[in-house]
Amino acid sequence: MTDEEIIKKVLADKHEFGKIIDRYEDKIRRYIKRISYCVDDDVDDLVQEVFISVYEKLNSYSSEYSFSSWIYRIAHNKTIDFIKKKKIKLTNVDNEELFEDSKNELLEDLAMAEDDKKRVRQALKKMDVKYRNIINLFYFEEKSYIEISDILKISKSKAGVLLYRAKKELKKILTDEN
Amino acid sequence: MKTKDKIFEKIDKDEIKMRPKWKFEVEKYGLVFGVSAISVLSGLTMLVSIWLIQMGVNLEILEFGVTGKQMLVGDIPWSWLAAFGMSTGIGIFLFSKIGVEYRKTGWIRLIRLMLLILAVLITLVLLKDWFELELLVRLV
Repeated sequence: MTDEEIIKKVLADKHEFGKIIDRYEDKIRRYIKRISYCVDDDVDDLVQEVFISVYEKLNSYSSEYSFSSWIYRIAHNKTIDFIKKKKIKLTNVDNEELFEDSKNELLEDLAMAEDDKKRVRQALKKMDVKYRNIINLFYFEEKSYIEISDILKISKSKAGVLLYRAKKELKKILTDEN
Repeated sequence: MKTKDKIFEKIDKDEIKMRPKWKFEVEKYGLVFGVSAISVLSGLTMLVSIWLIQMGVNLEILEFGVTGKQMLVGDIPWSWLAAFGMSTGIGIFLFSKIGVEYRKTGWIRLIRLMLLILAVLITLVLLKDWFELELLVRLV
């Protein structure tokens, strides 16, 4: 069943909204964790806030965008607001599980070996949130430039430039550590 | 308790409802109307100011009676007013279609269209003398 079909059902019966939660909860949770590094309780609250906001605004969703981009956009806004509001400090948790399946492409692009995963994880934590976010979207959420531009409301070329700068920043952090 | 249950509990407890579509439409068109109204007002203020300055300089022509008044009306920057009206109308139309939502393809199309409109308007203003006779006839 496509997202659009589920949305039509939700508009008729609110209990169908559970299907959207089932489909996106894990993705949104991982996304929030990867960019915010906040503690699990805060992540829980944020995930709930995101879905409640999605529920409230469902009538404003336009099918000219993918539903996935739309929901990520809401998650992005909520998380950034939360980071700004709370001025959260990064947890000491290594978040290893979040990067477990990662992402040989990122290591390849950085010319790093498989053993350097932990260093890359730590370096990601030190990055500016806007750079961490784009790395996350491109390598971990595997979003295309078009989807990234929809989620972050930037142009496709800006997404490319931002990703380039993010990788440069990541390399710099890794080099400085050495 | 699963997140899904927590979300539904919150929706029920706080009586959270989906906002109806018309509210989003009102917000969207309210924004379009607000921004358009500000643009129209600022544009008109500029045009009226230009006209008032011109009128201030040429006030003595009022002493020439009807002819003086006609000359004064003739001093109204009609071509700029027409250009302003056209561009504002097109702007409002495009804004209501595209809104503030960023969209790459829409944006590129918009820039092309704006450049085309700009070229047409500049041409019209440059050639305004050609239309002046017709304008005078209409005024009379």
